[in-house]
Amino acid sequence: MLIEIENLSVTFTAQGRLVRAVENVSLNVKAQESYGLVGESGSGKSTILRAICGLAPISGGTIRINGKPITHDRAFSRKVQMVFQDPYASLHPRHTIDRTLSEPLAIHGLPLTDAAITKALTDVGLPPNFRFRYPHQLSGGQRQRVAIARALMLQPEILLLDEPTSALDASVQAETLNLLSRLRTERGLTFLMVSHDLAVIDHMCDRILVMQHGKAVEELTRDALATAQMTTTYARSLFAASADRMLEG
Amino acid sequence: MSLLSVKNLRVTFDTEAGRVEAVRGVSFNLDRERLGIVGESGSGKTMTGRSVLRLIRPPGKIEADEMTFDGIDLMKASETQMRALRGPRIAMVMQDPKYSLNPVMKIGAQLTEGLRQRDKVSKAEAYAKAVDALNAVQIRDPQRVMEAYPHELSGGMGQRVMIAMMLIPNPDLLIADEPTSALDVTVQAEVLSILDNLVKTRGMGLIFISHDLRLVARFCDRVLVMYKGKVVEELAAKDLMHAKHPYTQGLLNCLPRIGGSREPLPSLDRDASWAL
Repeated sequence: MLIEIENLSVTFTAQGRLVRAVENVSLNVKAQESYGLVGESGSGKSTILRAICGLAPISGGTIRINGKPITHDRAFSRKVQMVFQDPYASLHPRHTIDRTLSEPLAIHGLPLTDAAITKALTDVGLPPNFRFRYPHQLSGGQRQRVAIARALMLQPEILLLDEPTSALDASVQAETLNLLSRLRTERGLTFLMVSHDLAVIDHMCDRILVMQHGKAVEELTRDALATAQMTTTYARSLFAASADRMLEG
Repeated sequence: MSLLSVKNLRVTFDTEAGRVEAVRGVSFNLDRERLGIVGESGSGKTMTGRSVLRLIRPPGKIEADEMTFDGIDLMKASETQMRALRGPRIAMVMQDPKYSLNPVMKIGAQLTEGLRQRDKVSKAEAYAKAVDALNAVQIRDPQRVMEAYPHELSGGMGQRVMIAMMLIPNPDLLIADEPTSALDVTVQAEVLSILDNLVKTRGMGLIFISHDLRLVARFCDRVLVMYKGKVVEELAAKDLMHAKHPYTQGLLNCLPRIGGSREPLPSLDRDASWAL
């Protein structure tokens, strides 16, 4: 197993109240697998990704990658990278695309070449002359491509995708999902992906964990989802609410 | 006579880089029904909605052959008349609670501000009305929400607060700009049923602006499909899945489906003639 999460709990204190964002969630992701987390907002699905990256405090349980408990050092960032939901908020507004893409290389002391930046842009389907633009000169879909390019700069094995297309139009969503699938096959990436859209998760993931109120509700394979073989009422209600996303209808 | 009638609406921006036509000749009528406007970002759907309230800032200019609401000519109305319409008669739910709520004002103060200022309602009565409105949009703990600041609420809660705020004055026409795009499916269904109920029980007209075709198909009575500032297709919502225009078909085809194949999703090939 590439990623092993065992009894993970994340607890915050907000205004003196204890908020259990994630409670005893366990999941395993195989190398080169694509694993999806679904649930409504506040179900803790994004918090799991943030806990893996060290952006949320882990109050219990363990996260292991390749059998080793995670440490948030440079070696970790070369293995695991994250793409955030909102491409309007995740790129520095005053840095050019060139600077955004160079930064990971600079931090890790890797050779910084023109060719590396140009290749990163062409890999995500952007023309090389976008290098010296600022984020506000790009559309939402183009920005998300830049965010994906940035995540791939250090050649990670694992991509954590937090609602990567929910801020995008349908046609741009299709292009971005196609890009992600292509990159996964080409580079043998492992995806841990969060979405509230069952159709997107179904299209992208092999296995799915349904979450509610910080707890794992049910794990489903893609086939079980497509044939509606869920056993819990919550997973079923989520499925029913997505009825308009079925193949026919 | 229809509640709102718009003929040949045009919104243009004179910028340094030249004239930008955001809306190019849109016409529609609305009764007490649910009209959906769909299209991608930049198609002019939000601008169409904002024009009805004349909420477009210079250098933007609104032109129309006709734009009347309940017998009032919106093109000729004075700014004072417009201000009297905004809120009590025509309300708009904006897209993003993060940017549309005042970040340094408690929710309660924002909800009661209109009642206190405009309707000169007593503090206690305004508070009670605001709590009722929060209850109407199914917020579980209205007293806590009244005391909260916008950043303390989730996206879904913020969106419901904005809907509650618009419903307090009981408008005849509600323009909802992507009211559910920040929400997930189950909450989305709740918010839609709240809106649906309000259209039915209060006899309100609703303009529902969204980029989500499936949502609009399920929820609205009639749909306008916009592309680059023009309406390319108008049809009954139930027929949306059998749309004739290649743009509408393309938008539908590029959506992933549960149980669909893993092949790359078809991309939308735009035809230059659609924009003509």
